[in-house]
Amino acid sequence: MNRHRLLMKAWLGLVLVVLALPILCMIALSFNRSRYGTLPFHFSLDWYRGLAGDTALIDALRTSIELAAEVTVLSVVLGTLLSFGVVRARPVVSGTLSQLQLMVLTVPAIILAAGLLTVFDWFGLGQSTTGLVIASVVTSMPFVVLVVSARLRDLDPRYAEASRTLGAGPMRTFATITAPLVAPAIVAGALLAFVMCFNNFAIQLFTAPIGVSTLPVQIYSMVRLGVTPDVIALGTIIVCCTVAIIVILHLVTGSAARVFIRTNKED
Amino acid sequence: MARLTIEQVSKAYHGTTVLQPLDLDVPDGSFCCMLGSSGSGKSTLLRIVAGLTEPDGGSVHIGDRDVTRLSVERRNIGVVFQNYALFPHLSARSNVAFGLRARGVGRREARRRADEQLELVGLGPHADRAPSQLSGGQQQRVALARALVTSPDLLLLDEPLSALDRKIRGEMQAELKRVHRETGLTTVMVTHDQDEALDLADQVIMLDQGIVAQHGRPAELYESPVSAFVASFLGAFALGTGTVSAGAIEIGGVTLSVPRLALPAGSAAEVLVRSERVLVNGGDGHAGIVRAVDFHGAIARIAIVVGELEVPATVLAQDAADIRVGDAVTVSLVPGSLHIYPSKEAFAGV
Repeated sequence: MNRHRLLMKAWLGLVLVVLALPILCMIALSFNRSRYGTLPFHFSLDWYRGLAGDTALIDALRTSIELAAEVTVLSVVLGTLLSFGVVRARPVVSGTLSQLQLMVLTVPAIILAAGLLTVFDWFGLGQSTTGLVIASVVTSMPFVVLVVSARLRDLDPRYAEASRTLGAGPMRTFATITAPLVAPAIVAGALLAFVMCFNNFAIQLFTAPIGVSTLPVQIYSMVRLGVTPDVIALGTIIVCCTVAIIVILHLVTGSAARVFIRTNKED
Repeated sequence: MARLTIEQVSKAYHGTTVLQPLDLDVPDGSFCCMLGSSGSGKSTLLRIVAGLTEPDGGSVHIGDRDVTRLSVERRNIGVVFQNYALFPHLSARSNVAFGLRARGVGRREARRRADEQLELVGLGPHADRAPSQLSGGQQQRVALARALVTSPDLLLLDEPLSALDRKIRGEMQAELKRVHRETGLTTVMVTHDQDEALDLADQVIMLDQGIVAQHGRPAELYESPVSAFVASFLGAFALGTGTVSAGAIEIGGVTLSVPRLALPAGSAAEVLVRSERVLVNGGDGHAGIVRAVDFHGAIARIAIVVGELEVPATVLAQDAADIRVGDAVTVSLVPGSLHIYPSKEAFAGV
């Protein structure tokens, strides 16, 4: 019994180490003076100082954040509207739509990116900012629809009906009843869309216009010559931001994980 | 307050008829119960009155207004849903104030009137709680307060008591009666519980597969159900099919005398018995043997074998104290204890 528990703990520890080790190493190396990640460890902030002067990387970061923000707004608006449609649509329509979305999620991003680029070429978009945004929305929106439509399906239709019987019109019912009840799912969908768009290397590599580098693309081009400590420093900053978002979510909602799972067990 | 009139309202879903064309008149201030099992169309009818379901044909009038094509929010009705449908993200007070806010009442005034209404249903101290922090009975009171605070013309209740346990159900039944007495609101309630319907309503509509099986005062339905279906739904036990003779009916080797029976001699008839009108050891009657005695608190149910029949009797528990299984007893069927209907098979044969 005790031995089992010990084994379980050891296994859990191992899993955590495997999951966290790369991130922890990265954080440690970003504070190491050595350019090639060699020991002994000498604490230094040189790489962070250097980062401030690396305009290419900073520009790429700004491009990525702007892109992800735009795409998130578009994905949330379009995805939420689509979710309302999907939930009310006939099974033929909603079934087809969810299959299509599943395809977008499962087809390798690089193949999807190649396909999108071909289509953009037909329409004369080619590698353009518009193309990049459209391609990113295509890959990010399914996450919003997935989360929001699940929540909508779970939502008891009687809440909206009760609101109507109390004299609230469809708009007021949506604003005061449906939207607040679906809000946690919309927030979760937005976060997922942001992260997915931020990360989508293949899409960005294929569809971004010449001369525009998003962060993943920029890092990729730098890493081809070896992983340099300034990339590691930037990675550390991004990890910290991600952790901060999760902590804030946790404080706001009581449980960050709960935002991503269905939270419709009111009664 | 208003009278509710329904004319020739019908509804079918995907080719399945849920409601046959149906007329209904609920006078101003009346408490009307729609009684039926699931699938009888009673909830559909309520949803049509509320405007949540559109009828295929016919019209609905509340007072002088034809509301058939009017959207839900303009009907000025109060609805209590089966699981109350309290808004989970709002406090009890905001739930009650919601209808007032939707009608353009100012925030402070709405809050004041909501508090007042909650006070009326005895929930003043709980106004700030979320629905999930309230018990079933309390939720039901909030739902009632929410439906009443906007002074609706019509109060609709969709199985409001079915989710409550027995003790609280009794309290809420009394509460509904009080509310109806004090407000005089025309009320329509849907239920599958005949006791609730007979207790609360001043008129009962018994629905069976989308058709009105019977419509009348509770006592009428209880005393003279028009069909075996209504009789058995209101608690009568089926004894089986017997043969009519002059002033009597033969069933299971027993001859039950039935004066003023309007069926032709020799025809087959379904016989149902009201167990609470069967007298045990109460004078003349048929000889029988007690097969089972079940106590249910204040009352006892006794099964008595008479000939080939098993006759149920419901008596006060103290009257059954001396009765044991196997005892020989006399069973008297007082007038009004039997309901007799022409047998359907007999019609098929003609």
